[in-house]
Order: sequence, then C-alpha cells, then structure tokens
Amino acid sequence: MFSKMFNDRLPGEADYRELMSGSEPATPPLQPAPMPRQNLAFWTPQLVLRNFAHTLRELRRPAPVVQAATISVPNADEPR
Amino acid sequence: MPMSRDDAKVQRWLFLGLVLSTTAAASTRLLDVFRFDQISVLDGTLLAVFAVLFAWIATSFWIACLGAHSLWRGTGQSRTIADGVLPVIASRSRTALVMPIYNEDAQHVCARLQAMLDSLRQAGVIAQFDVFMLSDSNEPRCWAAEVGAWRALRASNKDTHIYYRKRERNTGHKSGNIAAFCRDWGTLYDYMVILDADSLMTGQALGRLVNTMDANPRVALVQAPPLLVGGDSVFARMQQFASWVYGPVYVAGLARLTGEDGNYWGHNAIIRVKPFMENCGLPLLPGRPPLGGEILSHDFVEAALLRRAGWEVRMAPEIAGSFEASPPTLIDYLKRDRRWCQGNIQHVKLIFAQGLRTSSRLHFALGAMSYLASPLWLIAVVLFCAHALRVENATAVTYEGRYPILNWPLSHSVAFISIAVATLAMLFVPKALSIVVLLRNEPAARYGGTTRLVGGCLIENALSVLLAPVFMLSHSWFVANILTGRTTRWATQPRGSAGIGLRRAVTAFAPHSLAALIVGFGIWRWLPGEFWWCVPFLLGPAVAAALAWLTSKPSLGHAMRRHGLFLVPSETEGLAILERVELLLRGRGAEAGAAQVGHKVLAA
Repeated sequence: MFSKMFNDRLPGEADYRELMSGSEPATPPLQPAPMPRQNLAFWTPQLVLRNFAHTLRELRRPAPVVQAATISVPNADEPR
Repeated sequence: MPMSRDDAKVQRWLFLGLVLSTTAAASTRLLDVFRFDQISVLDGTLLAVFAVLFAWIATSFWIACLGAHSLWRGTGQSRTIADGVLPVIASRSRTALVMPIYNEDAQHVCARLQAMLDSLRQAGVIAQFDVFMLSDSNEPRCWAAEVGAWRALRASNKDTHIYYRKRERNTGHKSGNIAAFCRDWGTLYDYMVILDADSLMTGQALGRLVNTMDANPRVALVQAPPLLVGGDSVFARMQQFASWVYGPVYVAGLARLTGEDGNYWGHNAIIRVKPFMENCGLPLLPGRPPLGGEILSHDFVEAALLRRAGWEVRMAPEIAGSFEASPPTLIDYLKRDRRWCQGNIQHVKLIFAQGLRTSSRLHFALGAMSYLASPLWLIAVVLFCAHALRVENATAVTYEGRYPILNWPLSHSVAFISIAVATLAMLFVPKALSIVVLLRNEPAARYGGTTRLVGGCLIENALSVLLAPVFMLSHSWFVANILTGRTTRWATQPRGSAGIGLRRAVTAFAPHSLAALIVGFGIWRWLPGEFWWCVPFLLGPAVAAALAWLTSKPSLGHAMRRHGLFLVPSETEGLAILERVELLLRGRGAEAGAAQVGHKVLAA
C-alpha cells in the first residue's frame, strides 16, 4: 500500500487527511497573518570604499557656522 | 540584581582587553623565537594563525573565568534540578508549546510531551499552554505513527489542547515549519516555547519562562540553556557529564557577558510571538548553496534580527529544568556537526550584513570559529612541523667565500614549552575552575563523591585529548567540503543507539587512522626529536575506530554508571520528568497502541 501511495502522488498528500479525519479538528481554525521575509543588505568592499570616501568628503567640508539668533520679545503685555 | 548598561559596557571592554592582552603576550613570545633568526614568510603565517587560534581559546578561557566568578559570588545560580525553587505564578498569557518533528520516533516524542504535560499539570499552569506537533515528516510510516501517538496523547490529556499539523511540503525545513505555524496561528498566542524532538522541560521551568516574559516586556526571547540527560553510551554519558560539570561555568559567563545581547540556540527557549513574526521572516542569502540561499542555522539569525529591531534577547541559566539528549555515538555527533558546520559557516556572510548589532556579529563569528578553528589548528600543526624541519636541517656553518660563518641552530625549547603550557592552561584551567566552583556550591555526592567526580574529570580529559584531533580532522574535512560547494541534506538525528558495529567504525575512521600513521611515520623519519611530542596528537586519530566503537556501547556506559563514573545529579538524585519518560517508553502503553491504530487506519 505504501509503495502505491508513493508512486502516484506526493508522500502524505491525501492519505494524511484520511488519517486525520475524526470528530475533533486536528488544529485550531486558521488565523492567517503575515510574517514578512526580512531584507538584509551586505557590506561589500565597494560599498565600504564609497562610504569611506563619502565620510572623507564630509570631513573636508567646512563646518557649518552656527550663529545665535536674536529674537526680540515684546514685553508690552507684562505688568509694570 | 541586573547589571546597568554602563557596567555591562565596562565589563565588555575589560573582557576585550583581557582577550587581546593574553593573545598579545603569547604571540610576542612566539615572535621572540622567530625574531632571533630572520622572520620568513612561513614564520609570519604561523604567527598569524597562532594569534587567531590563541585569541579563540583566550575568549573561551575568559568567558569561563567570568562565569566562575559569577557562580563563586552567587550572582549566577548554580544549576539544580530541585524543582520548586521559586513559586510559579499563574499567567494570563497564552503560550504554545511548539514541537517541530521530522521523521522522528513518534513514541519518543509523545512520551516527552506527556511527561512535560504531567509536569505542567503538577505546577498548576497547564491551562496556559497549548501543544502543537508540527510534522514535516515525509516517510509514511513516521507520520502514521505520529497521528496514532497524537491521538493517544490527546485522549489522555483532555484538560489541554494538543494539535497536530503536517505540512505537505517542508520548505524552509525547521525554521520554515515554525514560520508556517506563526502565519497560521501565531496571532492566537503571546509566546511560544520552541522544543526539539529530544527536549525536555519541567512545568516549573516553562512556568518561570512565561513569568519572566510577563515581567520583562522588552524581552523577546529567553533561552533556558539545556543540560544533557538520559545518555546510555559512554560517549553520551561523557558529554552529559561535561555539560553538568563544565557547562554551567561557560553558560554563566556567556549570560553575564552578553546581557541583553544574548543568543538563541534553536530550542528550549520562549519567544514573544508578535515581534518574532514582525522581524524574523528569514532572508535568503545571496549566492548559491551551501553558502548562499536558505539559512540553515536559523537560531543565531533570528536572535540577531530581534536585536536589530531593538528587542532584548536573554540567556537564563538560572532557570533550572531545561534538558536535552546528546547524540549517542561519535559518528552521530559528527553527522550533526556536519550540518551545524554548514549553518555556522554560512553565518560568515551575515557578519557583513548592514544594520546588525556588533554583538550579533560576534555571535556569528564565534559560531563560525567553532568549526573554522579546526582547519586553522591543522594548518598550525603543519607549519610548526615545517618550521621544525627547517631548523633541523639548518647547517652549522655557512661560507662567505672562504670565510666560515657560524650558524648554530639554537634551541628554543624553553620558549616553545612556555607557549605550549600557556595554551594548555587556556584549555584546562576553565575545567579545573568548574570543578572548584562546583565543589563549593554543590555537595560532591550529587556526582558520586569527590573522588569519583575528579576521576570522571580525568577520564573525560583523557578521552577529550584523544578525540580532539579526530574532531580537528573531521571538521577540517567538513569545512573543505563546504567551501568546495558540497552541501548536506536535512537529516533526522538519531536519539538512541544500541552501539555501532566495529566494521562501520573502521569504515568511518579509516581516513583518520591512515593520516595519523602517514604523518607519524613522516615525523619519526624526518623529525625524530619531535616524535614523542606528537604522539598525543597522533594516538587519537590512529585508534579513532576503536574509540568510536567502544564509546558507542551502552553496556560499557551502564558499567561505568555502576562503578560511579560520569555520574550526574539526574542519575544520583533522580529526575522525575526523565523517569516519567522512561516509564512511558518502557511500558510502550498508550503511544504504542495508538501508533497501531494509525497503521490499521492506513491498512483499511
């Protein structure tokens, strides 16, 4: 019987369901939810060099000058 | 009290400093030897390989020292199988006990599940747990037995849900199996405890894992490091003795060092399902198998992905009651290593993945080094022999024209001996520390008394010395195979054994013996002065077949047990959950009958 089963279909495809048929369900009702495949980008020598060059360019750039802003706040509404 | 982040950082820098300074001290000693003559390319290569290997053993050494310090001070609890140390509090969280299986012995699997359910019932927390048998089996006789055993299990545990699901295509192997469970029913559960077919966890341990997760909402995974139990053969008993005696020190050190950057070992761990589903869908690696494609060793990667997403991954050696079984024979152990080797070498690629934490990269590097160290040791041995050959053949006098120049080969024996002693200290001092800590924290009677404990350690060390070169040769072969593109298939791990035949052992280890004899003859012929130094390294591979054959014998293992050797507390004091499994298997009661029901249904 097993050899027949193997010859004409995937192992365990339909017979498994025959075995599982019973009064109680074998599993809880399906609650489908996504489990997305994660993406990984890898460091390559080219990427490392490009990043290094970018960092050097950034370092050579003159540092941005920060000027203190003067904001006048009217105090006319303050109690005298 | 948990360590603050700043303290943990200081500790890690201190650890790094200790590893680097130890390595630098040993390497400069070797450099001094080479510098005396001129440093050749051979010397430079040998020095580089030696530095990498010494850094590797220094890492293990300092982890063990850290662990020994923790256990000595009592900050990391010593492992005990005495249940009921802490009361387990009932939780409102729902937890799935997930048992992925692939052509396993269904009776063994269900006996373990039954024992765990009994233990959960005893702890009063069974209502929080549902059980899922997730089958990937593709052999009809296996899944027929699984269905029968599952039915029997469900019939005798009406107070909980026991589910069975079989995948029609086992894509992604074990990690794919768990991912499929998450996609189908993950949203029903707060946590899942991943089990292996040989896992065994007490109700107390499972309850404490759930309580730990409830109390730490930033933690996504807690690994309860398993101890080995239930070994019959000499090999399995030796492994389990080592896991009980030396294991706690290493695990305590690792847990202390890694903190929230812990690792996942693939089973006997609890996982918060939601972040796992959001962050742990495994990526495909660029390139073709064996180094590219599907990720084989999923556990380290899943831990790294959880850390990338900001979740904590913890190791909890203080949670007692987490067990697994050892492969019964040396051959089975090496077969498992072949799979693990491929998975860990695949991780080398992930060291260069963007966005991962440095600690995750270190876990990948250490895992890969477990196997890459072997070919490096082999290269180091060959280079040392080449160096010795060069020194041996150096002429005492060379001439510049008619003028003789003395060129006495100087003996560097003292320097080499000091390097050898340092290397041996890195390997054996942690074991000695483990025994000292164990004798301080636990009564020696749990291991059969001090004499038998020390005797067991001496035998274990002698066997380890013989087996180490066998592992070195086998792992080197595995690495060479993997790097030349030969892949391994997903296989079921043997869980019990009646021993291996001598013919099988000879066939498996003939290459090792042949290599040892050829190298031994070469050294005796061309480096007679070094021959006796090399005997300990050559003896193991030369007699590997006999070793594998003898250590596979359960009868010899039983005899050792009778004489009090390699005793562990699960044997001296008894371990209720393990005894329950053995009782169920001896009786072959419900499961065996149920398996027959399955076969009858098929035959009808």
